[in-house]
Amino acid sequence: MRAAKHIALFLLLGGAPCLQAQTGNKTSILNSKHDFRAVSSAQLRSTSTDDACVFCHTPHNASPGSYLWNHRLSTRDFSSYSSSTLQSTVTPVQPQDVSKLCLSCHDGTIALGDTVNDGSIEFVQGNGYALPSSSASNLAGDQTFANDHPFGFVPRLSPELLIPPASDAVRLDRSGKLQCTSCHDPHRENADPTTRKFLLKSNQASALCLTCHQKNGWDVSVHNLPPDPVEDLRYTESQGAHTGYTGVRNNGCESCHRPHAPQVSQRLVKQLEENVCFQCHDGTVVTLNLKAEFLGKTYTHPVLLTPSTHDAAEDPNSASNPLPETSVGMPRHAECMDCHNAHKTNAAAAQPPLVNGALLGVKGQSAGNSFLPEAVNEYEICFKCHGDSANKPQALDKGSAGAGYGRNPQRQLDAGNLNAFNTRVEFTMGTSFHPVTRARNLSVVEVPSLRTTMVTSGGAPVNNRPLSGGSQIYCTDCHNSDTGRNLGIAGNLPSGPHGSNLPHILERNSALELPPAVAGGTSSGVTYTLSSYALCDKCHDVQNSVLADRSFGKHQLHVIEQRAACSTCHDPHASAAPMLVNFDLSIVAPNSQGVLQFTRTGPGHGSCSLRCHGQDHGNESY
Amino acid sequence: MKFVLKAALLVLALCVATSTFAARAPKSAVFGSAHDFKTQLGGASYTLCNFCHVAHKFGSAPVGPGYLLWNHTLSSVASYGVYTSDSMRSTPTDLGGQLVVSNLCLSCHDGTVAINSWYEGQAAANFQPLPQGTLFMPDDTTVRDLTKQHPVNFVYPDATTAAAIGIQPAADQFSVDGNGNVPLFQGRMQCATCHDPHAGPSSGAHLFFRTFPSTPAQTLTGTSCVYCHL
Repeated sequence: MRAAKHIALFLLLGGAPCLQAQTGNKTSILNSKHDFRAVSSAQLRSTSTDDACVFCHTPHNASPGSYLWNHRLSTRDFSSYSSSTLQSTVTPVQPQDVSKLCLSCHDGTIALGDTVNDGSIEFVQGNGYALPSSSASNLAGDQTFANDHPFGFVPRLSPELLIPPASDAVRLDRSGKLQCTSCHDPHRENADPTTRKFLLKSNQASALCLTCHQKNGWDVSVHNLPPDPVEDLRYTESQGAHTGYTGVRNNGCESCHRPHAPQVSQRLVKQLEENVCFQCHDGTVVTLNLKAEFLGKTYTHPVLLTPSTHDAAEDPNSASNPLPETSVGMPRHAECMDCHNAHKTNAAAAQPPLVNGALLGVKGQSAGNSFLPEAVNEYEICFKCHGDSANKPQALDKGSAGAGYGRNPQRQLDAGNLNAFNTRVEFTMGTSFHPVTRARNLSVVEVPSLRTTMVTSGGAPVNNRPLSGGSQIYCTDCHNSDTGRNLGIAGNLPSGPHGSNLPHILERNSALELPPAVAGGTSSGVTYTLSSYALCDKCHDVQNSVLADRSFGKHQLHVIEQRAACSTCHDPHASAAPMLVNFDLSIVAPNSQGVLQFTRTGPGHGSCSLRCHGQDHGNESY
Repeated sequence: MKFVLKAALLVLALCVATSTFAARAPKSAVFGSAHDFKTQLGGASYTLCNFCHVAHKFGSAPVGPGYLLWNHTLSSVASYGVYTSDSMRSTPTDLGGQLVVSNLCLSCHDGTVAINSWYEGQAAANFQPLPQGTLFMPDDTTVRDLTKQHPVNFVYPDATTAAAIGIQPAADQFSVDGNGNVPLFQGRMQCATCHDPHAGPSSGAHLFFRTFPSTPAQTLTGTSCVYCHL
């Protein structure tokens, strides 16, 4: 018996080369889904024909001649793919396109057995059986090719779109057009044994897609090289993987895209907007649960609330999707793709103001108000929407309760300023400013409270975030998750300004006073605890410097005894006055002489004219 | 284990099968076939071959090709067009105005010359002359537009190029199989590479198709196409 086994093995090995010479492409069709012989193991097959070729080919009087086509051709036209970012010109498929041959079955209008020279061949599914609209193989089941990868067109090349190398299985036709046959070989179903689908070669890790689509940065992207293999392998069919492969690495492009019948036609995105990201980023695949940030937090970037208003082509010159928005009435939106480029995103760390890996490769608006195809600095991403956009709603949000963001302090020096709430103008034009777009370069004498490093709420240093007079900071140093890893504490909750339970998507508390009935009147104020101003304390030592009166000698008097909030006098972004003084007009009013003014005469010295908490200051100096 | 042994034996059997010789139809197999005009037209006793061939072209015989002693009037079509495709690497030469073996086939099968049109006229069984120029090919056996036919009159790929395009390489200049069962003509594929005009039903052939050397692929696919189209 053992001898027999060896003989059999020997015969198998010895016989293999002999068979190999006979098993090229064409015979691979046997028992594939394109094998319609009556004895085929395919589900769709004829009732009595034993010839595997006749369904498509005939040696004589073919129609059309190319590829000796024997299947009756469809006469239907369907609309073709288009998108706002498509650079190539895609026209409806032409009669001379080889793709037209594929469509003779795959647009569902012609019966599978309908031949030119061999009559109507009966199928097990019935005589005249054509692919039904419900079939995934019917590209026009939805009456359009708009949600299919374009075909029958000459691709316009770019640094990110190449023609395949001459030696590659993937190829354009002789006229340089992409056809169905650029990706598919109708005779061989299993060149990719996992995905099948008659692909020309394995599409594991999107090897087939990447033959032409070489997205800049993809090679080192976390979506190409997921950092945690355990997480990666959680991406399975039940999570949305449709290629047969497991893992984002192996699914590659098709983790998010689908060349045929995606939910979103433009750019062939598998699911609508954030849902494509939430396949993984809802805690099921990637442990950090971003979906919960949007679902569970009180204040969020409205990713879940703004359907279908983002467009990948948006920029200042776009007629349909200008950004920054140019009119008050334009709908606002925030989508994952506004801040993240899934092709480029990686785990690289960065120091302010530079974007970190998570934010690589997205559009921005510079401090000088120029459109940037790729933001270099983090604030440039924020300025796309929080700078010159004409439709910012904060300017209209003057109520004491706030409308969606928490209360918006109405700042003294915003009054009459057309650019109120234009953060780009604030940070770039303020006399005093937090060092977001530029360093402030104040000395320790001027800002004695400045720590040497950012600290956690518990007072421990935040790794790798030193502070000095010349430091710059990120928008996200203040606007960030109130529960995430950004807080410098252990845990598996995501960072980033996706959402927070604190107003204005702040990562820590910066208490605001409740406005009195009349500005300048008596106010209950904020009972001081350090945690009320944890946000400021991250960089400024509130307890041991601010309240020890190291800078302004009356801080303790104002904050502890009179229960004024930091925000009552200081604008955390910037001010036309020194030392970020920019009074909150809901609390502070002009004094009995009608004067509202702060004057600085030197470090720790100045004077105020105002009315606040029922107290009148007439050029009161310190 | 039994399965492995069976599989191994099958492989062996298939390999052996690839090297079996095909039977060539005898010329007499034309009798009773669609090419048997003696029977169809009621020709004289000697005419089984003479509708196509003539042994001698004596004195007053019309000028005609000696090639295969052809006796049928040739077509004067100047261009038939040539088949092209995106994947084909060979380039066929237009048969219009040529005189290669496929032109002999086209002398009836392009539909421009009557079937009963000969250099040397034929006699009926009663030795009265048969009429000339009255019978034409029916449409379904006419191949006037060669852009819609399997290409012919092109150099069949040899081993250096065939592998890259999934084609069985030609064994030599005379045939694909090396034994003349899938013949080439000066290295070129012609009508007669697939068809033997003498191979009538009595030889087991259909549409005058040659019997190619048996291969497992042909058995499995139910078609001779895959003898060359691997």
